[in-house]
Amino acid sequence: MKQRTVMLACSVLFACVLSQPIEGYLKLTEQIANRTVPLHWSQGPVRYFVFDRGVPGVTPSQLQAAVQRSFGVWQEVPTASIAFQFAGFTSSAPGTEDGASTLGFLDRPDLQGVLGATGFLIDEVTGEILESDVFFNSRFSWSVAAAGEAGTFDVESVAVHEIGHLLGLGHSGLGEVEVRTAASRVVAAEAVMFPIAFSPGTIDGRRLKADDIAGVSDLYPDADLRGRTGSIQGRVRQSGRGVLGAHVVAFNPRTGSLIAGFALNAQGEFGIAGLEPGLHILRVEPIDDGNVNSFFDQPPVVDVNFKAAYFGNFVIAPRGGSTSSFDIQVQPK
Amino acid sequence: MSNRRDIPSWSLVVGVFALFWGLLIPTIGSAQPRSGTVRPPLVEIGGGLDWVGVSDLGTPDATMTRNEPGTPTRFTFFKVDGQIPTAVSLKTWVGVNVSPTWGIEGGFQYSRPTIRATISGDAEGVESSAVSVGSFSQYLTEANFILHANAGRFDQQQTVPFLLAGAGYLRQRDPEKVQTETGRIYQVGFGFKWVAGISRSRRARGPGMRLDLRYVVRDGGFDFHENARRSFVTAGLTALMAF
Repeated sequence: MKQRTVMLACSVLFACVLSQPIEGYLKLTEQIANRTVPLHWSQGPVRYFVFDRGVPGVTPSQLQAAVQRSFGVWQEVPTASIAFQFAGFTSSAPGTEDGASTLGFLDRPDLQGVLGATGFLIDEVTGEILESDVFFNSRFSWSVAAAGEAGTFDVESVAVHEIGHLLGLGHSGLGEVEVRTAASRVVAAEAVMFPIAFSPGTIDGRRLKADDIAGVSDLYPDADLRGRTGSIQGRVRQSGRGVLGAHVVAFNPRTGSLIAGFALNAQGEFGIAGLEPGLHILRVEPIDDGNVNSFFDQPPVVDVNFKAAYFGNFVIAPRGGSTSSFDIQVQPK
Repeated sequence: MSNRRDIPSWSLVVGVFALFWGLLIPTIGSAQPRSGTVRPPLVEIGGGLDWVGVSDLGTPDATMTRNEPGTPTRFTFFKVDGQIPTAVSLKTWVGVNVSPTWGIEGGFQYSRPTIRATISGDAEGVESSAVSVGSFSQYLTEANFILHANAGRFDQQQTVPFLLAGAGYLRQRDPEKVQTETGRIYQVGFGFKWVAGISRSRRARGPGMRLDLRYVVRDGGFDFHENARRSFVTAGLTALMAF
């Protein structure tokens, strides 16, 4: 069994300069032979340890309690089947390859603007996750206050995001960012897996959104998920060729949910699973150049030279099935 | 999503209905027709077309959570305004008049309306655009009470005004036949029946025409909001045969 370590930095604070917003949930994948295999845990419950170091304002016990609540948020998704188990405190810091998945604070002054990150030890043959460590950068001020605390980042919110990675989810682009002279700021988001954290003092990241739920349900579907939900599939095309990296957002006007997918190959093919059956409005837009690294480990040649647009027809996600493939035509900028 | 109830034009509908009712009150007051007054036929069978007015589907904006402490407000990603545009339905009905004044009828309608949404207010300035879904199949089974105003007959008693009130069961299926929605309708209306002949026993007999206007409330069916009630108007013109 070959093993490989992957580190995914995330929850970039302010520093990321994004000129355009982006959408979509993304599964982390590994190229195995000629197959693209999603990273995943093959057995549950996923056992995790908590590093026994605190930071000002957060003791190890408080950290453990916050992390446990964050795991609980994912575990309680009714359409997913994944469980977790706290295995105890450890003096082994996150990032140590010891076969134990560990979460805890680390002092990482070298990672300016990074609130936290998740690393993996994976089986390169099956894509199975063998170990996953999460650290929270103790360079920042942290809090576990129930209602949040001004000027500090909420451990629980950031833990929910990092645990999403631990499960095999990549970043979602369901957010809006405004560019300022010194830095960028998230205006709004509709996924805890959005790569840029909300401002200090906010706690909305403790609550999963439809895009997160669809993502984890896609990775760890419960027994009858496929029978209760629907999926859509199609291609994004421009002048007869596929649009790689296009983001396709599905809006269900009845439930108000926003769930998205990416066109992940040269044919511009995309698929979005875990949708409530019914009518959906589709919106397609490019990823801005500056964002590509947040979404792709080894950025492919992402096509951003097209205008955002709406698909002219409602798309109906069928219960227990998928639409036949259809093409969305976009125009060059 | 919040449940929205959108029953527009109440005042107009109530006004028209009251006017019509006011005109008929003097005649309906004498429930039994006077000697020589033409009575409705025992049985009527009809078929024709209904023009169905625009029906609202709601304005379910696509929103995101604002980056705010406390309880965040919503950020509008884009706005959606849904409608079922006007359509024409085929209808058939059969009525039985249980007294000179009262009748009951059952009907069936079939139509293929579309669903359309206008998208605007995009957060990134994408131009407003329209999204639609091809014709879906709509089936309506209905039952109505009919109140004939025999004393108000005109046109040599061949035309009789009437009021109607009833309810129906709605079934809708999308063009891809992957989703079926059901609902109920409630309706009130008024109209006129013209029958060409009058029998020796002073009953309306033979071929005729019927015109009616209805105010309909739809509860269920395709909609952008759960449990929404929507209203629309219809105008029907049907041929009939009176026995």
